Amino acid sequence: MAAPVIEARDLVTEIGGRRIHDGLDLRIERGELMAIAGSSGSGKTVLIRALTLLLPIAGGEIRLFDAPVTGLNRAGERRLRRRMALMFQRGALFTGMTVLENVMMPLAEHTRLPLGLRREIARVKIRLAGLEPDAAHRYPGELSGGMTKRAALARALALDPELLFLDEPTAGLDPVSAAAFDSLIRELRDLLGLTVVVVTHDVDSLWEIADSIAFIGEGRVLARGDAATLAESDEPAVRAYFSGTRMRRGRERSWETA
Amino acid sequence: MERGGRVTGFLAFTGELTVDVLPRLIRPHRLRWRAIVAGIEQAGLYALPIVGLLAFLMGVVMTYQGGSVLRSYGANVFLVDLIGITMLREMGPLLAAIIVAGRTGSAYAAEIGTMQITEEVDALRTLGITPYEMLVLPRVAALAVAMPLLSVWADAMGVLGGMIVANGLYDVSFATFLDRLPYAVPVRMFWAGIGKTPVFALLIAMVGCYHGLRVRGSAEEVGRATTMAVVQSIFLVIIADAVFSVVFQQFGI
Repeated sequence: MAAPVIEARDLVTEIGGRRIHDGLDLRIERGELMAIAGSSGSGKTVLIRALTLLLPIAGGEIRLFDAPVTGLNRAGERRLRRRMALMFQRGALFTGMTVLENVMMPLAEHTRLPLGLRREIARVKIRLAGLEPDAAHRYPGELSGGMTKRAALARALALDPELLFLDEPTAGLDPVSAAAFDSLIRELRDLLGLTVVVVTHDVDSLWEIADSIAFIGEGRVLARGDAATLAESDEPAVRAYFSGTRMRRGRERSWETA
Repeated sequence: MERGGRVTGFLAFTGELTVDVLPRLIRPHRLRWRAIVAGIEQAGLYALPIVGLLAFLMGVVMTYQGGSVLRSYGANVFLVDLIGITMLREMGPLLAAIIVAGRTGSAYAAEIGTMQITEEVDALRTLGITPYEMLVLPRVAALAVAMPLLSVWADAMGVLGGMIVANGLYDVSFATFLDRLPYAVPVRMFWAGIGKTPVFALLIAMVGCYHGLRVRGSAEEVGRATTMAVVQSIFLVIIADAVFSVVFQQFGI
């Protein structure tokens, strides 16, 4: 069996002395679309920050692409970061640059492509993320919420990452845009062969797109499986989350569309 | 306890900055020159009017006050010494530093602090760019260049202000003033003044960036970071100036 893309073993994270995760284990295989769910404050975003090397871990081990991530030198870290990308919850676009420049930025950093080619690639990514071409010359302040998410996705895709992290990609979007974004993520996964890790609260997303769901609680992965399995889980917290009314409605909707 | 944490925090920042930046200085073509040049324009060029005006007025006031005392001894011509030495050695660089701390140090803290809140700093890190390389180094470098130049400008405008009042009220003509200036103020005085300014620049830029990078969470934090950056950098500049005075005195400069 091929080595997993992400493997976290006995992970411990702390923020301001408060322990967020304690002995968390997680494996994500190549090409998998994995959702991370959990109640608010259970440390989903913190987990993503740890996996993307933004937050130093307090214990345990993280292996990405079958190699440990601790003790990397600067060049090694840059090579690793080139292979993965994170789409931030609120976009985190560089405010002094247009959307096009935002998408070109990773290309300028990591490649020696000439300017014209970088611009062309950036335009392709912007289209791929479902933005109209005329949005390319706008500044982040002039974008709507949905466009910001798409622009952030375009920037995340700029370097053709193998591993894509999405932090609440559909939060704050209306149901129609959210559904469109979900299908976009699925399409991109199938098209580009990405491994995708998505943190989400969105019930529809959980049912629609995820191959499997890891439910985080009490500092570890409480349960793993698809939404139907988790609804039958032995853990009361998981069962409560997945069999609540909002969840049921989501499930019914996903049956209707199926 | 809190203060101790802040001091070690700043030391840690200085250490990380040094470790990050030193290897880059070996390959200067990889530095972000565009950001540095833009920074010099922002911190230096655009500060010329305000620094010039305030230095000029400072020169006017000092001459006006000092002149009335000197005239009672008939020593009007010593105004040249008074203005030359205080302006070039102390007031010019210090005035420029204080204006830059309020104008540019605060901007550094606010800019970087806001970028922390919008997660732009983290976005940079996911691209493999450290905030030191992209945000701190260009700002420190820009100020290290702009600050000495601004001080020369402040020196010149201060002396000009003094000259005009000395000419108008105390019968020291421009010719006399300029004639006496090189004898009253040896060149080493000028260098003693300018020599301090890169240190001031380093302090202001680093304190500003440090407080910006410390911002976590809310907009309120940005305001607090900006205030802290200005207060602490002015404080440190004046301390550094005092240390320079003592050291220069010891070496007889």
